[in-house]
Amino acid sequence: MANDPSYECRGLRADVGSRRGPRRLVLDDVSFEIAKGEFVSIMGRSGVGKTTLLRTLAGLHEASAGSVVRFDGQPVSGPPDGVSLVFQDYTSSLLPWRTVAKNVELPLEGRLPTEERRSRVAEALKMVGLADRSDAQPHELSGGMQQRVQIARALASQPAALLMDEPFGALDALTKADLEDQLLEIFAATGTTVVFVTHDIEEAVYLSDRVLVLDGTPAQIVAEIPVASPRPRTQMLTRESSEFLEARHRVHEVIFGT
Amino acid sequence: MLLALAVLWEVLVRFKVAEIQFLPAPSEIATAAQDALAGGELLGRIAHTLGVTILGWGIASTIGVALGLLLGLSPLAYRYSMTSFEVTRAIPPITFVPAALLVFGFSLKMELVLVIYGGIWPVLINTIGGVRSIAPELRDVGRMLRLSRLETIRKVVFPAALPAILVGLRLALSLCLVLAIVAEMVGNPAGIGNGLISARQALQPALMFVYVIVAGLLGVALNAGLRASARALLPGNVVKDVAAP
Ligand SMILES: Nc1ncnc2c1ncn2[C@@H]1O[C@H](COP(=O)(O)OP(=O)(O)OP(=O)(O)O)[C@@H](O)[C@H]1O
Ligand SMILES: [Mg+2]
Repeated sequence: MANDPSYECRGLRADVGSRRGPRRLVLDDVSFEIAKGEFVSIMGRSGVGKTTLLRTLAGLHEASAGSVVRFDGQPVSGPPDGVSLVFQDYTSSLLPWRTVAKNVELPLEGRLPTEERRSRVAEALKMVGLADRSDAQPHELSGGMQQRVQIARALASQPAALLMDEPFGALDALTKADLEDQLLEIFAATGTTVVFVTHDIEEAVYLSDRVLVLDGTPAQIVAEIPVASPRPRTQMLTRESSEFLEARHRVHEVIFGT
Repeated sequence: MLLALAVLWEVLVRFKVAEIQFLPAPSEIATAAQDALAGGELLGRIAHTLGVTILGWGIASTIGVALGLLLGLSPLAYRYSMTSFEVTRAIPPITFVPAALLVFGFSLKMELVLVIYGGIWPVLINTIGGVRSIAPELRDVGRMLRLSRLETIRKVVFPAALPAILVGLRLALSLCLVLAIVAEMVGNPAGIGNGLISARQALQPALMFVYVIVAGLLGVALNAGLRASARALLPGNVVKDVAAP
């Protein structure tokens, strides 16, 4: 059904730790819905459990018994079809022995005929502006370019939902602004749902329809701040708009208190 | 450098400066080498030792890599096998020569078994190390891209561990040559090792030195061959530490 949410979490609990040692409860009673085609950011202090939440949505981390985590109506157990994850650390997420194009092609191998694979790879690389670097080795690219390769790889399988864990956290401000705009273009062009983890309040507000704030130990969603700025957004105009400033103010308030 | 050493050696022996019994001059060694080459004996022995080394190394590598991938990927199997490995590995393979002789007699089988057994260890240990040091993120990448278990091993784990595996293969190759020669000296009457012993027994020191030099050259050639094929078969950034001399 068209009105079904993309993601639905009810009473999500998650703990971390080794299989034998003591486990630590990181998320307790986390509940939210994310609509199809929505852009939602998740914010919170370092160590609060953002990555754990995203890994749970990705099916890489198992939620505790009793939690409800659904993607597209189906309970998540293992990476669901139609979900791509962009990892925080691009250096360890690309295969250094494969070229840019071969990295992007990896999720398609054995699943699509060669012709279609080629065109999908070309399309994905074009979306991130790396069409001319398809034969390069990852180590020949800058950090921003490597992260774009990772985004292209995530896009190649034409995901219904794109999960991103602080994808621009390690980049300089200019590169970051570039990639934010590129992501917004991709978001507009593909209509994919995006769940975006970040430390950066401005980034969260600039990109999102809604910002979720995690806080506490164990963490819960303590605030949901909608961002009313119209799309398409541009770095200069949007960041000066009253909707942007208001949403930024509210997120700031929630995170740093009054 | 080498040439100067040869000349010095020649001079010392010729003019009886160093009067060491049975120490042949380089010229005598060269003559002996020519004779051995002409008789076809030298080439035959080289072929035998080279063949056994490469065959044994190939089998050892296959077993070592396969077992190493398995143990590296399974924490449970790793925990249970590591203690016994540490003990077994500490025993120098050469000490198994008498046992291998008893079981297999003076035969090619005995030589091969020794070469394979010794060659497995460096490959196995390096493969396990390589697999276990793969960034955990890379495994998540494999899961996230919906790679099957086999695809993950073939496309992610194996290439990521390849630099470590190549180090193991290289160590194993040198070791296999040494073990083949030792086995030929004490067990299987063939190849360079046996040539060495026969030359000594026949009181032909010059010929003995021919085999010593040939063994050294073989080691260098095998190593160079491995490096060249690694360079030819693999992309540059994987080979770096193996291609270093
Ligand atoms: N494998 C693990 N073993 C033990 N503790 C873990 C493990 N992974 C995460 N943790 C703990 O769980 C908590 C949440 O970690 P998580 O990585 O989700 O935080 P985060 O919000 O993403 O932080 P950051 O913003 O720094 O990335 C942290 O306190 C962390 O120390
Ligand atoms: Mg994190």
